[in-house]
Amino acid sequence: MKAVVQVKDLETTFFLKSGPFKAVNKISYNINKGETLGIVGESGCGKSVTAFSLMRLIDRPGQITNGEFKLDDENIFDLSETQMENVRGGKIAMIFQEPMTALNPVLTIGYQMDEQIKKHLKYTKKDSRDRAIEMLQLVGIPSAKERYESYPHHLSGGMRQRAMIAMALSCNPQFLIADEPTTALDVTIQAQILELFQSLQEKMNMTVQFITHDLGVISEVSDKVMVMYGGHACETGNTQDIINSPRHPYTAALIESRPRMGHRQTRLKTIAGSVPAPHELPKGCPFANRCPNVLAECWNVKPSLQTNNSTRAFACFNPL
Amino acid sequence: MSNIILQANALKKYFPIKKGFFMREVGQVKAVEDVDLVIYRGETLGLVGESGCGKSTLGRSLIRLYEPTSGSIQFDGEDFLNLKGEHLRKKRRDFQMIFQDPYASLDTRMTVGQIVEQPFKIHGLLSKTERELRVKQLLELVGLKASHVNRYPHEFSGGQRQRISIARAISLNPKLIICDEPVSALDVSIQAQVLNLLKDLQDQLKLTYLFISHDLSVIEHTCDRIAVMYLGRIVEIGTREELFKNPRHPYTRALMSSIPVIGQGKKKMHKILSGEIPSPINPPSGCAFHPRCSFKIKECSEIIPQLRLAHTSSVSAFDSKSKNHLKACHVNLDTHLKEIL
Repeated sequence: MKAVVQVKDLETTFFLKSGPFKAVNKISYNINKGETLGIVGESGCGKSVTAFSLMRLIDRPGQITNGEFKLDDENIFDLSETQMENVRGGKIAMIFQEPMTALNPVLTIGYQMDEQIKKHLKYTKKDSRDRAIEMLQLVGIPSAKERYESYPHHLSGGMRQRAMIAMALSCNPQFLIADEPTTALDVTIQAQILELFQSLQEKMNMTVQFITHDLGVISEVSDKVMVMYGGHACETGNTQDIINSPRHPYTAALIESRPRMGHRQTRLKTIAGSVPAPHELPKGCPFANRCPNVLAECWNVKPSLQTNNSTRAFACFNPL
Repeated sequence: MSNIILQANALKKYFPIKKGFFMREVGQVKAVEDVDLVIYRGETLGLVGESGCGKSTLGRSLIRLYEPTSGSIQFDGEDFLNLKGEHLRKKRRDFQMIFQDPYASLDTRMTVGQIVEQPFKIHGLLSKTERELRVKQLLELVGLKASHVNRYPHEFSGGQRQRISIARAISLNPKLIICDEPVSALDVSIQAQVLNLLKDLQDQLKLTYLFISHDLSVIEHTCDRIAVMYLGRIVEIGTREELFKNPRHPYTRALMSSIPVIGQGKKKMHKILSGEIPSPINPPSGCAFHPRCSFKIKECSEIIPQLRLAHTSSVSAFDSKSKNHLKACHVNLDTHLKEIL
């Protein structure tokens, strides 16, 4: 199968007063057509910056300093800003974590959807209205015609997130980036949205990059996983393999530190310390100062992603 | 000493909705509605539910951070709602609260030492040197360093800040601590550290916790007994084993099946719960859950179900002071489950 999304050596640097800091450090991955890649990690690990980099939405002081991103063999980073405007919302769509801040509060849902459909699909006013209402129905919003006229604050959190999904999918994107789409929602609503997401993905055979900090969500929606820590990819592979037999100590610790339903223990395994500040990251492996399996070389040499077969890779000198 | 630390009966908390220039009262948000609750000494009672179900309001009403609208609360055998002035202030030493957001619950302009020392000052306990010594002990107890006393909250990470608020909460040797989503704002790897710390402190200091959370896996890990709330009412309560093995309320079942589970693989989720939580301003008639319930029968929209023993079909009396498994539902789930299977 051919990879639709090819990201190679992506590097995004923020030039801060305290010095440059690489929020995303040489990350490479491919996603095949119709597949979901889950990116998981704690706050500040660079998972959202990766997504914003692909959309070329990084603002100063940040800058994409290296790497390439090919979508269907088209190099997105080579496009001009005008060409990029046609890609955003068209070929590549994004769903954000907080629908209340991502939607414009003073424009109706319908207006915001029309704007996009008219630009990318070149529909007439009437056709784009029909398309928008059709999409709102598709994502399960009741009385879609009335909701088309509503403002974002008229909708509940779950409905707003559905509207966001409808908006993102309205121009038949080839590639969808979902950045923590269910984190702000209650569990019962989360279950509804995840189910909707899966059924739509199957229907439209979409390629998805799904970002979350919740391993439970990842294991239910994604085919492959990339675990990130301190701007680096530390492990990639099939979801089942990673969850069942993690090789990188960070992945293992992340899985074990989460209470699991039906596997109750008296004490949780913990990861010592906390995520270091960007300028405090160790010179070698970013996880060295918290790792239980740390070796002398970990402090000085950065481990690169070691591939032992085509599907599994991890960056560690002393794997489990 | 009785083994019950706190007992609430028919507790209600309504918030007025005011509108217009004269701020006339136009309605009420029924945040907590007829709650009966017993907390036993030394246990961790979990309170779980979706956002807006009234779990935080209940927690705050129990310790009179919100003045309850009606009902009664017995704290340590005393009628707590009728305490006034000096008596009330003294009583307040016995319970403390840990808040969700460690960035909002600590005064940014006070040093850690001043924050943890504050409870002693307010209650006029210990001399200055004793206080300083005690603050250092407390910081070490929660896994911080005694040398941190002169630092400010912004110098600490989220997990460490939550440790500071825990130090403040345990400073006066309280009997009951209300933990309102204490780990929700923290990263996964830090959550585990804080949960372990809370457990250790409970063992050392013989604390009782009311643990409020929306996260059932955290609740299952920490709690001995669990109460499930929906729209201001407790719909099911029981010990951890009973509730998780054999949930008797359709809402509890739906809540459990909604949780993404690590390692079950990519799966088709079962659609159990549709719709959203209704408004507490104008709750549905009868059982508040009936518009979303797939097992509903005729009574559900007419009669408000009361808490009763979960395993009998008849409405039988129960001892409100025992740890029975109770549910508030008209439907006998057994017959329905057979149909599904």
